[in-house]
Amino acid sequence: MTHPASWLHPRPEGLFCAPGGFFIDPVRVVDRAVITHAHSDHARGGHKAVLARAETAALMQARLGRGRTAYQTLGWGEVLRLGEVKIWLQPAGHVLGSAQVAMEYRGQLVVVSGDYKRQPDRSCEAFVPVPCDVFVTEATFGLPVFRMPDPVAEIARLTDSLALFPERTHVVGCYSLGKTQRLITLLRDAGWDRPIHVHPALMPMCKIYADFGIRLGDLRPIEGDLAGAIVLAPPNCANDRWAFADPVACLASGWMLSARRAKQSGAEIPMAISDHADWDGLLRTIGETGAPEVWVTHGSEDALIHELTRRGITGRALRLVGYGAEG
Amino acid sequence: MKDFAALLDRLRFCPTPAHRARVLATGSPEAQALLRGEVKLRSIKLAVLRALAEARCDPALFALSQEFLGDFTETLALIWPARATNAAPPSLAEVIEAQHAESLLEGWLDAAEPASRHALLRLATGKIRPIASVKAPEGQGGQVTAMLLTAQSGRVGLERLYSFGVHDGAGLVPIARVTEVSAPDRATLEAWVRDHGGAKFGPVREVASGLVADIAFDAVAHSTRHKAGLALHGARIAELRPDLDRADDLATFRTLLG
Repeated sequence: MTHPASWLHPRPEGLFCAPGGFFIDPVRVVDRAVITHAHSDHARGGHKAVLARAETAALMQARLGRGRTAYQTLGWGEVLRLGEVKIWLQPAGHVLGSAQVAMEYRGQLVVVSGDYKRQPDRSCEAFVPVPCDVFVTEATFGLPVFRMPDPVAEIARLTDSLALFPERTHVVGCYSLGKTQRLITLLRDAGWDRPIHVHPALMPMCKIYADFGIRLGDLRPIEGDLAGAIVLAPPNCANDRWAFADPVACLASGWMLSARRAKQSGAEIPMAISDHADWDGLLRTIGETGAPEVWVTHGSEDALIHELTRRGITGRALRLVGYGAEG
Repeated sequence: MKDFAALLDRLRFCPTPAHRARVLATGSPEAQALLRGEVKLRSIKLAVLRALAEARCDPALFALSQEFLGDFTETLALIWPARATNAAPPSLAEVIEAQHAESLLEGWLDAAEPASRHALLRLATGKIRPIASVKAPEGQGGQVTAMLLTAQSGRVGLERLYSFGVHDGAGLVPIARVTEVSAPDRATLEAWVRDHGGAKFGPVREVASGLVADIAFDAVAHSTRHKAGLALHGARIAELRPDLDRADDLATFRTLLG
């Protein structure tokens, strides 16, 4: 048995698996990268070879172009040998194609979560806990004040406002990959079957979701009569007054749980909808992996490690840099 | 309590008094009365809340959380480790009835979900700005749609002071004085003063009514020195509204402010 700290190291490029010769979500260009999901801070362009889910590869190519990168894709649970390491992917429930990376070397099993969440989400595969010796987790919302409300209730705040202000266009700020498509599926499940107007920057990712069988319904460009319509736009565009008469600015982000952040956002309806595990989600997941040792990649690691220590679990902050805090 | 918490959230960042009035109308009679300032609630001392936080929360986690959120009440509401209870969360009517009996608060916090806990604690600490109290809702203050009344030249001849008013009966009553104006807005205002200027009283020139603007402000206070009975702090032009020919009514604006 070889302790994982001796073969899995944080490096400036990212987390490096020495016996496998690959980086996980490297922030600089490397020869061999395993990519957990297609968000730009985890999936940079220019690597020589990328191993990922087919969905992630498609989303990356749509964003970055094909380039010279050689993509290899893996099915869920399909085991591959890289050097002396056995590696496979399990769903992380963050965005379409998001995966945890499981690695086995000399009798020790390490799982790198990537970004993940435990709330139900029809737009991607649900998180599957993998029992392991070391669980490497994110901690974007690693404070006990972060407990996400039911997203269905958050969506109801939007639809209630549409009922109260049927003449106002409701413009929702959301990131192009993940949040957009989750909002659309939540709205559809809430019975919103009218067209949803989508900013051109969000459309390519929606198309890939549809290609992978996620039903998003009638999506249209931002034109025509928009009174009482829902418009989805990148967060930096959502506060623009555009051409809408008396718009309602909304923003979907886990950070909207903080009153100060909500105020700073300038949104009239700040919605706490996140694709990251909240405090309870982090602790539940760590419990389910049964891991006696947990490494924290990025986020609010101090509080999480404090709580893990209280529970008899060894916590270690990797302090990987370069990962954003999109909520 | 859940409905009341949702109502507070929806009101909080509503851009204009007219919008707030529509949202407020969806609230329960108790909620409306409370937010109009017709019902007073006894406040709970902060020390009581601090004692609850100490008794129920891990101090290190509380400190890290408060550092992040920057607000004690909010931290307590969100971090609260609720004990399982069969009790239903209190209704707003119950809370008003009990006048925040300190002995009930802990049980209420256990029974409520985070948003309701926050509303409950804001009530307990007297932090609801209501639409109805003397202060505009914290955050973006508020907005009022008003009509240009006068333009006044400053001492150095460069600085201008514009006053705006709202309808009061058949006339207009001054409600805000604005000095800092963006260059394009200033050009529009000056053009209006040039073309529609009227009588001059010293440095103050009256203008014909017709130019409407949304005035944003940071806070509003009752004032006996102003004709409108209230004074706006930090008033500035949010947007000129050439599409409008009428300002808000003082009565409506007052109802919203209490």
